[in-house]
Amino acid sequence: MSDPAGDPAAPPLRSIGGLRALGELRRPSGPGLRRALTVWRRSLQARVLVSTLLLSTLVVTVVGWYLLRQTRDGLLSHRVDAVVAESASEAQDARARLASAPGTDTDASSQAKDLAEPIIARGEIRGYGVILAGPADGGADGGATYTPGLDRASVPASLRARVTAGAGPAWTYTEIRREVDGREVAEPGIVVGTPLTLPADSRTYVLYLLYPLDEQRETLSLVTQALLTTGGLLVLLVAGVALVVTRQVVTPVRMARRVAERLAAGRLQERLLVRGEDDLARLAMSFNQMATNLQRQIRQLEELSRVQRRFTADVSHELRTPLTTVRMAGDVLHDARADFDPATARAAELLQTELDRFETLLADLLEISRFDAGAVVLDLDDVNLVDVAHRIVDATRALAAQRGVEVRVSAPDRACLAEADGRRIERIVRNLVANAIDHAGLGSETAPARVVVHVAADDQSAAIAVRDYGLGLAPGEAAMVFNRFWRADPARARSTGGTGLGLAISLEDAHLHGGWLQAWGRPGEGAQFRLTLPRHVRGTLRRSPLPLVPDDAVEARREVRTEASS
Amino acid sequence: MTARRPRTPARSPARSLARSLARPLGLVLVLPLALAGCVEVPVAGPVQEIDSAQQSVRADGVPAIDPQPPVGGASPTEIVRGFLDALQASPVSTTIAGRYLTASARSAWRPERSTIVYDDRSDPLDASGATSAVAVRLVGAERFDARGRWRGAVSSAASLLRFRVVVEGGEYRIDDPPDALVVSRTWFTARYTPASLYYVAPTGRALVPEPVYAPSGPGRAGALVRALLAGPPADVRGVERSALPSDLRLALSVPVDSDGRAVVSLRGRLGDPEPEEASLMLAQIGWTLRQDPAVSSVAVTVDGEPLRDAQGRDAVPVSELGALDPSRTGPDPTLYGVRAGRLVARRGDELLPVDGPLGRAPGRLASVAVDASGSQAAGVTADGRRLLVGPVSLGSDVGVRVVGRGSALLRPGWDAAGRLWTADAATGRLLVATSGATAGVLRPVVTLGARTPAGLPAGTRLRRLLVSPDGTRLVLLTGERVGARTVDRVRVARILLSPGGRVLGVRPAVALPASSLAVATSALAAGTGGAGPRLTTGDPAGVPGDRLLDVAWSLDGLAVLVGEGGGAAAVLQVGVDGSPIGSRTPTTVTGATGLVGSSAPGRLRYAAVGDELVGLDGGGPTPRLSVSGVSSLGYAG
Repeated sequence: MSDPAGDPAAPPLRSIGGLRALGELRRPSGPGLRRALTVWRRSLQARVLVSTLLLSTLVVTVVGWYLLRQTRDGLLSHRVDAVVAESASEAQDARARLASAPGTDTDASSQAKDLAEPIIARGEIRGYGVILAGPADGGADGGATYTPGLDRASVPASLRARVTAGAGPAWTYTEIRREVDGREVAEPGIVVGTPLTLPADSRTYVLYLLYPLDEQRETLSLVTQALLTTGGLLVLLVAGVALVVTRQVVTPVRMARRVAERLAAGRLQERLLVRGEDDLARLAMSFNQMATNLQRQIRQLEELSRVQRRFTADVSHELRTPLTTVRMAGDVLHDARADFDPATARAAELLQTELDRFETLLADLLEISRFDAGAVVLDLDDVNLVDVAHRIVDATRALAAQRGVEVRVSAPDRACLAEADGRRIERIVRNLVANAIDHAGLGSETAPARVVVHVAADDQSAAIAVRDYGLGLAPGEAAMVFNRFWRADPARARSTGGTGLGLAISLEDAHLHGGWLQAWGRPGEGAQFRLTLPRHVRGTLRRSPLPLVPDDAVEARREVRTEASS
Repeated sequence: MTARRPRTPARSPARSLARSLARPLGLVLVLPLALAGCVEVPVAGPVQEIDSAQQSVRADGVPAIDPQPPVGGASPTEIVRGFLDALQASPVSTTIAGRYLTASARSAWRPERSTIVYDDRSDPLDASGATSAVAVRLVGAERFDARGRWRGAVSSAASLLRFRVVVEGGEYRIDDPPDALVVSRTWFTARYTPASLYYVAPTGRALVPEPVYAPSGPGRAGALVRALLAGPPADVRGVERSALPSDLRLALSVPVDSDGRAVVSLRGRLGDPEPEEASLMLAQIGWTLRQDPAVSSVAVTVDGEPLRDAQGRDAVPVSELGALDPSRTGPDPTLYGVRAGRLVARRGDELLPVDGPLGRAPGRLASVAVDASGSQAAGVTADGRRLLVGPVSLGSDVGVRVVGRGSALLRPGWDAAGRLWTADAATGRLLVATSGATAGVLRPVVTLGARTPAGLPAGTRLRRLLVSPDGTRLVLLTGERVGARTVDRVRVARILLSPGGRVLGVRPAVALPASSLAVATSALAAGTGGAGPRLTTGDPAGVPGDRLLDVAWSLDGLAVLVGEGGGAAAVLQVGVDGSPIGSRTPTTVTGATGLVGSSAPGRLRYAAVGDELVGLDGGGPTPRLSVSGVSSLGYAG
């Protein structure tokens, strides 16, 4: 209860704060996201559904992507094989034609043109572009004969470099750019380069054949479309399935939650509706069984408690009548004690004293019984705690003087108001002051026997603290002082008229106001009791205007605070 | 994406969740679309090598020769020698040879214009000093023109090649190379073989072969088509024409694929030819290309448009081009001859008189010829004064008609169109009778003898006349007077025909070079141990009188029977243009007196030796046929 980090309520608070910060970072539209996150946190169904949707999308995507890749690779490798074979046959044909060309022909350009033209014509029919470039080994670009409209830059420089470097035929993918009806068209394609040697000048020319991949692209887009459609439908199907399944699971769980909430709220007769024999039905059965058992035990305990309280109240009531008679008889004896011999007179006095105590004890017991029975009603009014303090101090002045204790009030000039039942507050303060006087005198010889009543208030609350410099409290005792019939030192005789119930009743009273009653004490340094009341009954208390550990305590700040609350 | 928004039960938290999570969810669900977008047909990638197991182009079995390019600091003579060596690259290429030339000479050099073949050459001789002229003398040089036609021996003056060598870029280079491929005969014969270009006779009904030499190997078909497209040479205008327009040219080459399909891609304007013309074009190309045994069909395209034959086919099998068979032989493979003045025909292992009128009267005929169909025979009477034509067999009501008269008529000959040719040895007149029953009268065409528009010297004696089946060539065996001597010559004259088939005249008869025949005779002399008189090699005058015994058609040209006296004789193959065919080694046939031959494939050639026939074609069976007393032996047509 001491370290905030150990507080179990902290992490969710923090994580939500973090998420919110994330949301705000990403998008200014806070409320929608916050609502969504709330739903996300609260709805198991939503979480399952979204997770399923995302996961299935992911899986479908990966599978689809893999399939598409395989399809594409298959299509392409098939096409590449065909293209390489066709270009090889074309090159073979060109080589055959070159081999049968006359060796005495020295006109290389017309030879190149003659070589290229039938290939270009064939290419136009079969749908591939042709570029006969060269001579390649002369350094500079020797021009080219090519299919009309074809952009010569469609041949990538890497292929050009490779083929003209003297390597054998090679191919690569490229983008074929050509002009169709005055428009520039670019399409993916394969270009195969084959070096050829023209007999006219014995130099190397390169025959590039450019095969478009239009058909493959269309097929691929068809497959892509089909995959996307199928994948989308599959994801929807999975989402639907997840929805149905989670509904089947979540609905009974929700019902169980609601019933559990009602049970927790005390409606112990609430039960789950058991339908079928499945796991959920058995869970509901067990739940109902548990609820029944709990209900029975709670009822037993309640009954027991009620019987005990009733017994206490009854005993108290039953004792009052004979006590009244005894009292009356005692009074007669007491009044007539002057006529008695000293011993008898002394006995009459003792009888009177103990009767007073008995009455007080009985009254306290009845008060406690009323608290236990919940039959206490507050008579609310604005109470000035400063007035209360002065009144009580004045009232106890005689007692204090008798004990040689100096009691004084340390209060601000203004009123310290709290909405409270004045009679009960006075009883609390009186109890505390009497208690303090009781223990103040037991201090050491050097310590001043005094009691200070501090009063303070702020907007939210008002507090009154009673400080004594007596024996103080041993560690752990601060929490126990409010127990019924608790004594700091069981061996010590009860010197004052305390019943042992005063602090317990005070605590009940404080709680009745929604206030705190806390004790602090250290052996040899005295003790302090602090009553803190909200400004309005049932108002929230966050802090007290007075410190629990008095300012004059040794190591006041460093001391481990001993707090006691309910 | 709205369709993909998760549907949750109609509860307010779920609905609000759906509402508020729609956007992030939407973002997540767009992922598949984005990934699908990633799988695209690539437009770039690494360059991949192709494992190229190149099929080797049809090799022709001759050694490849990679000539050496010019080396630095070579002397003018070394440059010339290097140049002449570089010309003999194999496969034929002039790229390296071009590097021996100056830049200007290289661009002007046209080695494809002709080919000079030599037997031997002298070492380059630096003939100059200051002007750096280098001379090389060629021995036994012959020239071929751009088409590959044999143009005869190179004159002695032209056999001395002079090269002007200048300094260019610090190196000697040739500045005036001859526009010719100058190669040795061994190189040439290994790489060039005889072939024929086929043109069309003026009648349009026959193909006329023109002998050329074409490179063997893969370039042969292209070279032949290229030469064919050049059209008939100027000296045979009017004798033959080409159906192929002159502005057509061959695109690159004629590749022959593994199925034997030769694809001839032509460029130029063709218009829309008549089906007959188109068929002629296809026939010309087809017949020209079918000489390459690798070619089984021919596909011709002009500017990419296929040229279709009458049946609408793109590719015409060469085996189906028979309609215009230039040899025009009829279906009759029978041997005919004259025995005891009667027309005899081979029946099994015997020569028996025919049933027709010409086979019945003994002593009537001196020489005969049977037409291509084997139905009509023409015969010169024993006195040489009349030419008779009659049916070979019975059943025809047409009797023997006299179609011509003369004083010493030579053995006649038929061409495939049915024209009957002969000449009068006494007057030197060439006589022709057009075919048909009505026009069966010999008509003088031209005088070949004394007054001679056909270019024969005065006093020429005609001894033998052959007419080619296509009717465009006339081969004459003559005895001519050169000074005091008499020499034998073989002359070839081209016949001018009208489109209707009428004979318009004869171009000058060109004598085959004596050198072609002289080699034969000298070789023959060597074969017979040097007995008998010998010819001077390359004697320009000709073969001494009565040494050329007979001449006959053979598959590639002419077969000439050369006698050396004392029974020694040899048969020599010679092209109709006089070019030597194949090896120059003649076939020695001792005692041969006559030849039987035909230009049609499948007909064996024989030499008549005494009573027997001796096969000249090697493998063929020699018929056990007695030819005792038989003259004028020959095939129909």
